[in-house]
Amino acid sequence: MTRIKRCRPLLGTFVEITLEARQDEAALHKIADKAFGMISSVQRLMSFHEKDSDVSRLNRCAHISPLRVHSWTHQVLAQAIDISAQTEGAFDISIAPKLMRWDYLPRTQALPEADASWQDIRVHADCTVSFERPLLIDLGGIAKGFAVDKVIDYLSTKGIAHAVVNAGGDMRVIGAGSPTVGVRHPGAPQEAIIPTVMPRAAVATSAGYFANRKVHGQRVSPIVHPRTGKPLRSTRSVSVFSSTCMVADALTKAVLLSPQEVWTRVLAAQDSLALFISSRDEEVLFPTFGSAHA
Amino acid sequence: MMHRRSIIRVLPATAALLSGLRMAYAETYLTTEQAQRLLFPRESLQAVSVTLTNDQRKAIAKASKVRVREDTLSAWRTSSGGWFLADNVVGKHEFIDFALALTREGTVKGVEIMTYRETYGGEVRHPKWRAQFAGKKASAPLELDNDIKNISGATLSSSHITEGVRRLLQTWDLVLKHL
Repeated sequence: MTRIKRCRPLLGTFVEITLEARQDEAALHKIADKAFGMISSVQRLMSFHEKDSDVSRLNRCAHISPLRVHSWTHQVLAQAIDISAQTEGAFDISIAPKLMRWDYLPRTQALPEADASWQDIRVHADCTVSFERPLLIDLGGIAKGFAVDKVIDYLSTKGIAHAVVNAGGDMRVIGAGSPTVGVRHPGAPQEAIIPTVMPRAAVATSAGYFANRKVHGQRVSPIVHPRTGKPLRSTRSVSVFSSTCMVADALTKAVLLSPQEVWTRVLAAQDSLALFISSRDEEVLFPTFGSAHA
Repeated sequence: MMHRRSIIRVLPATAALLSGLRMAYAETYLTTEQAQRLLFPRESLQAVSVTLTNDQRKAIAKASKVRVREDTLSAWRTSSGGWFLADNVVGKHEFIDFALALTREGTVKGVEIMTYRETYGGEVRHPKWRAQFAGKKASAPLELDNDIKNISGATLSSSHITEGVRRLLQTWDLVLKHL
Protein backbone atom coordinates (compact mmCIF):
# COMPACT_ATOMS: atom_id res chain seq x y z
CA MET A 1 0.00 0.00 0.00
CA THR A 2 1.22 3.46 -0.86
CA ARG A 3 0.10 6.45 1.14
CA ILE A 4 0.32 10.13 0.29
CA LYS A 5 -0.94 13.23 2.03
CA ARG A 6 -1.34 16.63 0.43
CA CYS A 7 -2.61 20.01 1.54
CA ARG A 8 -3.55 23.16 -0.36
CA PRO A 9 -5.10 26.45 0.68
CA LEU A 10 -8.56 26.39 -0.94
CA LEU A 11 -12.12 27.49 -0.10
CA GLY A 12 -10.72 29.87 2.51
CA THR A 13 -9.25 27.03 4.52
CA PHE A 14 -6.70 24.24 4.32
CA VAL A 15 -7.87 21.25 2.32
CA GLU A 16 -6.09 18.03 3.18
CA ILE A 17 -6.28 14.88 1.08
CA THR A 18 -4.93 11.53 2.27
CA LEU A 19 -4.86 8.62 -0.17
CA GLU A 20 -3.92 5.01 0.37
CA ALA A 21 -3.95 2.50 -2.48
CA ARG A 22 -2.02 -0.17 -4.33
CA GLN A 23 -0.69 2.29 -6.87
CA ASP A 24 2.64 4.03 -7.15
CA GLU A 25 3.21 7.39 -5.58
CA ALA A 26 3.26 9.28 -8.87
CA ALA A 27 -0.17 7.89 -9.79
CA LEU A 28 -1.59 8.91 -6.41
CA HIS A 29 -0.19 12.43 -6.75
CA LYS A 30 -1.87 12.72 -10.16
CA ILE A 31 -5.17 11.69 -8.59
CA ALA A 32 -4.66 14.23 -5.80
CA ASP A 33 -3.89 16.97 -8.37
CA LYS A 34 -7.13 16.23 -10.16
CA ALA A 35 -9.03 16.21 -6.84
CA PHE A 36 -7.60 19.62 -5.88
CA GLY A 37 -8.55 20.85 -9.35
CA MET A 38 -12.17 19.89 -8.66
CA ILE A 39 -12.10 21.85 -5.40
CA SER A 40 -10.71 24.89 -7.25
CA SER A 41 -13.64 24.59 -9.65
CA VAL A 42 -16.11 24.60 -6.76
CA GLN A 43 -14.36 27.69 -5.40
CA ARG A 44 -14.59 29.45 -8.78
CA LEU A 45 -18.27 28.59 -9.19
CA MET A 46 -19.54 29.20 -5.67
CA SER A 47 -17.44 31.97 -4.18
CA PHE A 48 -19.43 34.92 -2.88
CA HIS A 49 -16.34 37.09 -3.30
CA GLU A 50 -15.32 36.31 -6.89
CA LYS A 51 -17.20 38.51 -9.34
CA ASP A 52 -17.58 35.90 -12.09
CA SER A 53 -18.73 33.01 -9.92
CA ASP A 54 -22.19 31.52 -10.48
CA VAL A 55 -23.15 32.80 -7.04
CA SER A 56 -22.15 36.40 -7.83
CA ARG A 57 -23.90 36.28 -11.21
CA LEU A 58 -27.07 35.00 -9.56
CA ASN A 59 -26.87 37.63 -6.85
CA ARG A 60 -26.55 40.36 -9.46
CA CYS A 61 -29.32 39.38 -11.85
CA ALA A 62 -31.27 36.18 -11.10
CA HIS A 63 -34.21 38.35 -9.96
CA ILE A 64 -34.39 39.82 -13.49
CA SER A 65 -34.33 36.65 -15.57
CA PRO A 66 -33.35 32.97 -15.17
CA LEU A 67 -29.59 32.34 -15.46
CA ARG A 68 -27.87 29.21 -16.66
CA VAL A 69 -25.44 27.85 -14.07
CA HIS A 70 -22.94 24.99 -13.93
CA SER A 71 -24.54 21.62 -13.16
CA TRP A 72 -22.66 21.52 -9.84
CA THR A 73 -24.12 24.89 -8.77
CA HIS A 74 -27.52 23.64 -9.86
CA GLN A 75 -27.08 20.50 -7.75
CA VAL A 76 -26.01 22.45 -4.66
CA LEU A 77 -28.93 24.88 -4.92
CA ALA A 78 -31.46 22.11 -5.42
CA GLN A 79 -30.20 20.25 -2.38
CA ALA A 80 -29.95 23.44 -0.29
CA ILE A 81 -33.60 24.26 -0.95
CA ASP A 82 -34.57 20.70 -0.16
CA ILE A 83 -32.81 20.92 3.22
CA SER A 84 -34.35 24.37 3.83
CA ALA A 85 -37.80 22.86 3.30
CA GLN A 86 -37.05 19.90 5.57
CA THR A 87 -35.68 22.14 8.32
CA GLU A 88 -38.52 24.67 7.94
CA GLY A 89 -36.04 27.37 7.00
CA ALA A 90 -33.56 26.87 9.83
CA PHE A 91 -31.00 26.18 7.14
CA ASP A 92 -31.15 28.99 4.57
CA ILE A 93 -28.56 30.01 1.98
CA SER A 94 -30.19 33.44 1.54
CA ILE A 95 -28.90 35.10 4.68
CA ALA A 96 -26.08 37.09 3.14
CA PRO A 97 -27.61 40.55 3.77
CA LYS A 98 -27.39 40.01 7.51
CA LEU A 99 -23.85 38.73 7.29
CA MET A 100 -22.93 41.80 5.28
CA ARG A 101 -24.41 44.11 7.85
CA TRP A 102 -22.05 42.55 10.39
CA ASP A 103 -19.11 42.80 8.00
CA TYR A 104 -18.58 39.11 7.48
CA LEU A 105 -18.92 39.42 3.73
CA PRO A 106 -17.97 42.21 1.34
CA ARG A 107 -20.61 44.77 0.50
CA THR A 108 -22.05 44.53 -2.99
CA GLN A 109 -24.32 46.79 -4.93
CA ALA A 110 -27.32 44.48 -4.97
CA LEU A 111 -29.99 45.46 -2.48
CA PRO A 112 -31.84 42.39 -1.25
CA GLU A 113 -35.26 42.72 0.31
CA ALA A 114 -35.14 42.22 4.05
CA ASP A 115 -37.63 39.36 4.21
CA ALA A 116 -36.51 37.51 1.06
CA SER A 117 -35.67 33.88 1.78
CA TRP A 118 -34.92 30.46 0.29
CA GLN A 119 -38.58 30.26 -0.75
CA ASP A 120 -37.87 32.90 -3.41
CA ILE A 121 -35.25 30.74 -5.13
CA ARG A 122 -36.42 28.78 -8.17
CA VAL A 123 -34.24 25.94 -9.43
CA HIS A 124 -35.43 24.96 -12.90
CA ALA A 125 -34.94 21.65 -14.66
CA ASP A 126 -32.85 23.09 -17.53
CA CYS A 127 -29.95 24.05 -15.24
CA THR A 128 -31.22 27.59 -14.87
CA VAL A 129 -31.97 29.42 -11.64
CA SER A 130 -34.09 32.48 -10.92
CA PHE A 131 -35.05 34.55 -7.89
CA GLU A 132 -38.60 35.78 -7.34
CA ARG A 133 -37.17 39.06 -5.99
CA PRO A 134 -33.79 40.63 -5.23
CA LEU A 135 -31.91 38.24 -3.01
CA LEU A 136 -28.39 37.38 -1.92
CA ILE A 137 -27.30 33.80 -1.55
CA ASP A 138 -24.12 32.58 0.08
CA LEU A 139 -23.07 28.95 -0.26
CA GLY A 140 -20.35 29.27 2.38
CA GLY A 141 -22.33 26.89 4.57
CA ILE A 142 -22.35 23.98 2.14
CA ALA A 143 -19.91 24.50 -0.75
CA LYS A 144 -17.07 22.97 1.26
CA GLY A 145 -19.15 19.89 2.01
CA PHE A 146 -20.19 19.66 -1.63
CA ALA A 147 -16.56 19.91 -2.79
CA VAL A 148 -15.54 17.14 -0.38
CA ASP A 149 -18.36 14.91 -1.69
CA LYS A 150 -17.38 15.54 -5.33
CA VAL A 151 -13.79 14.56 -4.60
CA ILE A 152 -14.87 11.43 -2.72
CA ASP A 153 -17.12 10.43 -5.66
CA TYR A 154 -14.15 10.83 -7.99
CA LEU A 155 -11.75 8.95 -5.70
CA SER A 156 -14.17 6.04 -5.40
CA THR A 157 -13.81 5.45 -9.15
CA LYS A 158 -10.03 5.31 -8.86
CA GLY A 159 -9.51 2.19 -6.79
CA ILE A 160 -8.55 4.09 -3.64
CA ALA A 161 -8.73 1.76 -0.64
CA HIS A 162 -8.65 4.46 2.00
CA ALA A 163 -9.08 8.20 1.69
CA VAL A 164 -9.66 11.16 3.98
CA VAL A 165 -10.70 14.50 2.51
CA ASN A 166 -10.75 17.28 5.09
CA ALA A 167 -11.71 20.83 4.14
CA GLY A 168 -11.12 22.74 7.37
CA GLY A 169 -13.21 20.34 9.42
CA ASP A 170 -15.69 19.26 6.76
CA MET A 171 -14.49 15.74 6.36
CA ARG A 172 -15.41 12.52 4.59
CA VAL A 173 -13.66 9.18 4.41
CA ILE A 174 -13.49 6.14 2.15
CA GLY A 175 -12.57 2.74 3.47
CA ALA A 176 -12.76 0.53 6.50
CA GLY A 177 -11.87 1.61 9.96
CA SER A 178 -13.09 4.51 12.03
CA PRO A 179 -10.68 7.38 11.79
CA THR A 180 -10.47 9.45 14.90
CA VAL A 181 -11.68 12.96 14.47
CA GLY A 182 -10.93 15.85 16.77
CA VAL A 183 -13.75 18.20 17.63
CA ARG A 184 -12.74 21.58 18.98
CA HIS A 185 -14.12 22.42 22.35
CA PRO A 186 -16.43 25.40 21.92
CA GLY A 187 -15.28 26.96 25.18
CA ALA A 188 -11.67 27.03 24.04
CA PRO A 189 -11.62 26.86 20.26
CA GLN A 190 -7.90 27.57 20.01
CA GLU A 191 -7.04 24.96 22.53
CA ALA A 192 -9.10 21.90 23.08
CA ILE A 193 -9.56 18.81 21.02
CA ILE A 194 -12.10 16.23 22.02
CA PRO A 195 -11.42 13.02 20.13
CA THR A 196 -14.33 11.02 18.88
CA VAL A 197 -14.95 8.42 16.20
CA MET A 198 -16.82 8.56 12.94
CA PRO A 199 -20.13 6.73 13.10
CA ARG A 200 -20.83 7.85 9.50
CA ALA A 201 -18.53 8.56 6.56
CA ALA A 202 -18.81 12.36 6.78
CA VAL A 203 -18.71 14.96 9.55
CA ALA A 204 -19.04 18.73 9.83
CA THR A 205 -19.00 21.00 12.87
CA SER A 206 -20.64 24.36 13.53
CA ALA A 207 -20.47 26.63 16.51
CA GLY A 208 -20.76 30.22 17.50
CA TYR A 209 -17.09 30.57 18.29
CA PHE A 210 -15.65 30.94 14.82
CA ALA A 211 -15.05 34.62 15.12
CA ASN A 212 -14.80 37.22 17.74
CA ARG A 213 -16.31 40.31 16.20
CA LYS A 214 -18.35 42.72 18.17
CA VAL A 215 -21.25 44.90 17.09
CA HIS A 216 -22.61 47.35 19.66
CA GLY A 217 -20.48 45.63 22.27
CA GLN A 218 -21.96 42.19 21.61
CA ARG A 219 -20.12 39.28 20.13
CA VAL A 220 -21.39 38.40 16.67
CA SER A 221 -21.44 34.84 15.45
CA PRO A 222 -21.45 34.08 11.73
CA ILE A 223 -24.32 31.66 12.33
CA VAL A 224 -27.44 33.71 11.93
CA HIS A 225 -30.87 32.62 12.96
CA PRO A 226 -32.91 33.00 9.77
CA ARG A 227 -36.17 33.67 11.62
CA THR A 228 -35.06 36.35 14.07
CA GLY A 229 -32.11 37.57 11.99
CA LYS A 230 -30.03 37.54 15.14
CA PRO A 231 -26.66 35.82 15.48
CA LEU A 232 -26.25 32.87 17.80
CA ARG A 233 -24.66 33.84 21.08
CA SER A 234 -24.51 30.33 22.46
CA THR A 235 -21.12 28.76 22.83
CA ARG A 236 -22.48 25.35 21.95
CA SER A 237 -21.02 23.47 19.03
CA VAL A 238 -22.53 20.63 17.11
CA SER A 239 -20.89 18.01 14.93
CA VAL A 240 -23.16 16.17 12.54
CA PHE A 241 -22.23 12.78 11.14
CA SER A 242 -23.92 11.89 7.84
CA SER A 243 -23.28 9.78 4.78
CA THR A 244 -22.39 12.88 2.75
CA CYS A 245 -20.45 15.93 3.79
CA MET A 246 -22.86 18.43 2.28
CA VAL A 247 -25.76 17.06 4.32
CA ALA A 248 -23.57 17.06 7.43
CA ASP A 249 -22.57 20.65 6.68
CA ALA A 250 -26.15 21.84 6.22
CA LEU A 251 -27.51 19.91 9.19
CA THR A 252 -25.03 21.41 11.66
CA LYS A 253 -26.65 24.78 11.04
CA ALA A 254 -30.14 23.30 11.05
CA VAL A 255 -29.54 21.56 14.36
CA LEU A 256 -28.28 24.72 16.04
CA LEU A 257 -31.10 26.85 14.68
CA SER A 258 -34.29 24.82 14.62
CA PRO A 259 -36.51 23.42 17.38
CA GLN A 260 -35.58 20.03 18.67
CA GLU A 261 -38.63 18.28 17.22
CA VAL A 262 -37.68 19.57 13.77
CA TRP A 263 -34.02 18.63 13.82
CA THR A 264 -34.54 15.22 15.40
CA ARG A 265 -36.94 14.46 12.55
CA VAL A 266 -34.45 15.73 9.96
CA LEU A 267 -31.58 13.78 11.51
CA ALA A 268 -33.65 10.60 11.33
CA ALA A 269 -34.71 11.31 7.73
CA GLN A 270 -31.06 11.82 6.74
CA ASP A 271 -29.76 8.89 8.83
CA SER A 272 -27.49 11.31 10.65
CA LEU A 273 -26.18 11.78 14.19
CA ALA A 274 -25.46 14.97 16.07
CA LEU A 275 -22.85 15.39 18.81
CA PHE A 276 -23.39 18.47 20.98
CA ILE A 277 -20.75 19.99 23.20
CA SER A 278 -21.85 22.73 25.52
CA SER A 279 -19.72 25.28 27.28
CA ARG A 280 -20.32 23.37 30.50
CA ASP A 281 -18.68 20.20 29.21
CA GLU A 282 -21.90 18.40 28.48
CA GLU A 283 -21.60 16.10 25.52
CA VAL A 284 -24.75 14.71 24.04
CA LEU A 285 -25.07 12.43 21.05
CA PHE A 286 -28.38 12.21 19.17
CA PRO A 287 -30.06 9.94 18.51
CA THR A 288 -28.32 6.57 18.92
CA PHE A 289 -26.97 6.71 22.44
CA GLY A 290 -29.57 9.02 23.83
CA SER A 291 -28.41 11.65 26.19
CA ALA A 292 -25.10 11.14 27.95
CA HIS A 293 -23.88 13.85 30.23
CA ALA A 294 -20.19 13.50 30.64
CA MET B 1 4.24 12.69 17.08
CA MET B 2 5.13 9.86 19.45
CA HIS B 3 5.70 12.37 22.17
CA ARG B 4 2.14 13.61 21.89
CA ARG B 5 0.64 10.15 21.80
CA SER B 6 2.40 9.04 24.92
CA ILE B 7 1.12 12.11 26.73
CA ILE B 8 -2.45 11.38 25.74
CA ARG B 9 -2.22 7.76 26.87
CA VAL B 10 -1.65 8.76 30.47
CA LEU B 11 -4.50 11.21 30.34
CA PRO B 12 -7.19 9.57 32.51
CA ALA B 13 -4.95 9.15 35.53
CA THR B 14 -3.02 12.36 35.49
CA ALA B 15 -5.17 14.83 33.64
CA ALA B 16 -5.09 17.33 36.47
CA LEU B 17 -1.32 17.25 36.70
CA LEU B 18 -0.95 17.82 33.00
CA SER B 19 -3.33 20.71 32.57
CA GLY B 20 -1.64 23.68 31.08
CA LEU B 21 0.70 21.52 29.09
CA ARG B 22 1.01 22.39 25.43
CA MET B 23 1.44 19.90 22.66
CA ALA B 24 3.15 20.51 19.37
CA TYR B 25 1.85 18.97 16.21
CA ALA B 26 3.52 18.98 12.83
CA GLU B 27 2.41 17.41 9.61
CA THR B 28 4.82 17.20 6.72
CA TYR B 29 3.02 16.76 3.44
CA LEU B 30 5.86 17.26 1.00
CA THR B 31 9.59 17.76 1.14
CA THR B 32 11.01 20.62 -0.93
CA GLU B 33 12.21 18.11 -3.56
CA GLN B 34 8.78 16.44 -3.75
CA ALA B 35 7.06 19.80 -4.13
CA GLN B 36 9.50 20.74 -6.89
CA ARG B 37 8.81 17.53 -8.79
CA LEU B 38 5.05 17.97 -8.42
CA LEU B 39 4.92 21.61 -9.43
CA PHE B 40 7.51 21.39 -12.25
CA PRO B 41 7.41 17.73 -13.33
CA ARG B 42 9.28 18.08 -16.61
CA GLU B 43 11.75 20.82 -15.79
CA SER B 44 15.15 21.12 -14.23
CA LEU B 45 15.58 23.56 -11.36
CA GLN B 46 18.57 25.69 -10.52
CA ALA B 47 18.97 27.19 -7.05
CA VAL B 48 19.43 30.97 -7.19
CA SER B 49 20.86 32.89 -4.27
CA VAL B 50 18.77 35.99 -3.65
CA THR B 51 19.30 38.47 -0.82
CA LEU B 52 16.93 41.40 -0.62
CA THR B 53 18.29 44.84 0.12
CA ASN B 54 16.56 46.99 2.71
CA ASP B 55 15.08 49.14 -0.03
CA GLN B 56 13.73 46.07 -1.82
CA ARG B 57 12.18 44.76 1.39
CA LYS B 58 10.49 48.09 1.99
CA ALA B 59 9.23 48.25 -1.59
CA ILE B 60 7.84 44.71 -1.42
CA ALA B 61 6.16 45.40 1.92
CA LYS B 62 4.63 48.58 0.56
CA ALA B 63 3.36 46.98 -2.65
CA SER B 64 2.01 43.82 -0.98
CA LYS B 65 0.95 45.37 2.34
CA VAL B 66 2.64 42.40 4.01
CA ARG B 67 5.67 42.61 6.29
CA VAL B 68 8.86 41.11 4.87
CA ARG B 69 10.47 39.16 7.72
CA GLU B 70 13.40 37.60 5.89
CA ASP B 71 15.98 39.06 3.53
CA THR B 72 17.02 35.76 1.94
CA LEU B 73 14.85 33.79 -0.46
CA SER B 74 14.75 30.04 -1.05
CA ALA B 75 14.41 30.33 -4.80
CA TRP B 76 14.94 28.07 -7.79
CA ARG B 77 14.70 29.09 -11.44
CA THR B 78 13.23 26.51 -13.80
CA SER B 79 14.40 25.63 -17.29
CA SER B 80 11.38 27.42 -18.76
CA GLY B 81 12.07 30.62 -16.82
CA GLY B 82 9.54 29.96 -14.05
CA TRP B 83 10.30 30.11 -10.33
CA PHE B 84 9.92 27.71 -7.42
CA LEU B 85 9.85 29.52 -4.07
CA ALA B 86 9.91 27.84 -0.65
CA ASP B 87 8.62 30.17 2.03
CA ASN B 88 6.72 30.26 5.31
CA VAL B 89 4.02 32.21 7.10
CA VAL B 90 2.85 32.17 10.70
CA GLY B 91 -0.38 30.22 11.17
CA LYS B 92 -2.19 30.53 14.50
CA HIS B 93 1.00 30.13 16.51
CA GLU B 94 3.58 28.32 14.40
CA PHE B 95 5.15 28.44 10.96
CA ILE B 96 3.47 26.93 7.94
CA ASP B 97 5.95 26.08 5.15
CA PHE B 98 4.60 26.37 1.65
CA ALA B 99 5.81 26.21 -1.94
CA LEU B 100 4.81 28.64 -4.64
CA ALA B 101 5.33 27.89 -8.33
CA LEU B 102 5.36 30.83 -10.73
CA THR B 103 5.34 30.76 -14.51
CA ARG B 104 7.78 32.72 -16.65
CA GLU B 105 5.14 35.48 -16.77
CA GLY B 106 4.90 35.65 -12.98
CA THR B 107 1.48 34.04 -12.65
CA VAL B 108 0.71 31.45 -9.99
CA LYS B 109 1.09 27.90 -11.27
CA GLY B 110 0.47 26.22 -7.94
CA VAL B 111 0.62 26.43 -4.16
CA GLU B 112 1.36 23.43 -1.96
CA ILE B 113 1.56 23.29 1.82
CA MET B 114 4.78 21.47 2.73
CA THR B 115 4.69 21.47 6.55
CA TYR B 116 1.86 22.51 8.84
CA ARG B 117 2.70 23.09 12.49
CA GLU B 118 0.40 23.92 15.34
CA THR B 119 0.50 24.00 19.10
CA TYR B 120 -2.35 22.67 21.17
CA GLY B 121 -2.92 22.73 24.85
CA GLY B 122 -5.72 22.29 27.28
CA GLU B 123 -7.33 19.15 25.89
CA VAL B 124 -6.03 17.21 28.84
CA ARG B 125 -8.52 19.12 30.92
CA HIS B 126 -11.34 17.43 29.03
CA PRO B 127 -10.91 13.69 29.50
CA LYS B 128 -14.63 13.14 29.92
CA TRP B 129 -15.27 12.17 26.34
CA ARG B 130 -14.04 8.71 27.28
CA ALA B 131 -16.85 8.09 29.72
CA GLN B 132 -19.45 9.09 27.22
CA PHE B 133 -18.54 6.39 24.78
CA ALA B 134 -17.73 3.66 27.27
CA GLY B 135 -19.40 0.39 26.27
CA LYS B 136 -21.05 1.86 23.19
CA LYS B 137 -20.96 -0.26 20.10
CA ALA B 138 -20.31 2.42 17.51
CA SER B 139 -17.41 3.69 19.54
CA ALA B 140 -15.71 0.35 19.97
CA PRO B 141 -12.68 1.35 17.93
CA LEU B 142 -12.19 4.43 20.07
CA GLU B 143 -8.44 4.49 20.31
CA LEU B 144 -6.01 7.31 20.19
CA ASP B 145 -3.62 5.31 18.08
CA ASN B 146 -4.97 7.08 15.07
CA ASP B 147 -3.38 10.50 14.99
CA ILE B 148 -5.62 13.24 16.18
CA LYS B 149 -5.16 15.44 13.21
CA ASN B 150 -8.52 15.89 11.63
CA ILE B 151 -9.53 18.97 13.48
CA SER B 152 -13.19 19.14 12.77
CA GLY B 153 -14.87 22.37 13.69
CA ALA B 154 -11.83 24.48 13.11
CA THR B 155 -12.24 26.84 10.24
CA LEU B 156 -8.51 27.24 9.99
CA SER B 157 -7.98 30.43 8.12
CA SER B 158 -5.69 30.25 5.14
CA SER B 159 -5.55 34.03 4.79
CA HIS B 160 -1.93 34.14 5.93
CA ILE B 161 -1.00 31.93 2.98
CA THR B 162 -2.85 34.32 0.68
CA GLU B 163 -0.78 37.16 2.16
CA GLY B 164 2.42 35.18 1.74
CA VAL B 165 1.62 34.55 -1.91
CA ARG B 166 0.89 38.25 -2.42
CA ARG B 167 4.24 39.13 -0.87
CA LEU B 168 6.07 36.68 -3.16
CA LEU B 169 4.26 37.94 -6.25
CA GLN B 170 5.53 41.43 -5.47
CA THR B 171 8.98 39.96 -4.80
CA TRP B 172 8.88 38.48 -8.30
CA ASP B 173 7.72 41.74 -9.83
CA LEU B 174 10.28 43.92 -8.08
CA VAL B 175 13.26 41.57 -7.93
CA LEU B 176 13.14 38.10 -9.52
CA LYS B 177 11.79 39.28 -12.87
CA HIS B 178 14.90 41.40 -13.36
CA LEU B 179 17.44 38.66 -12.54
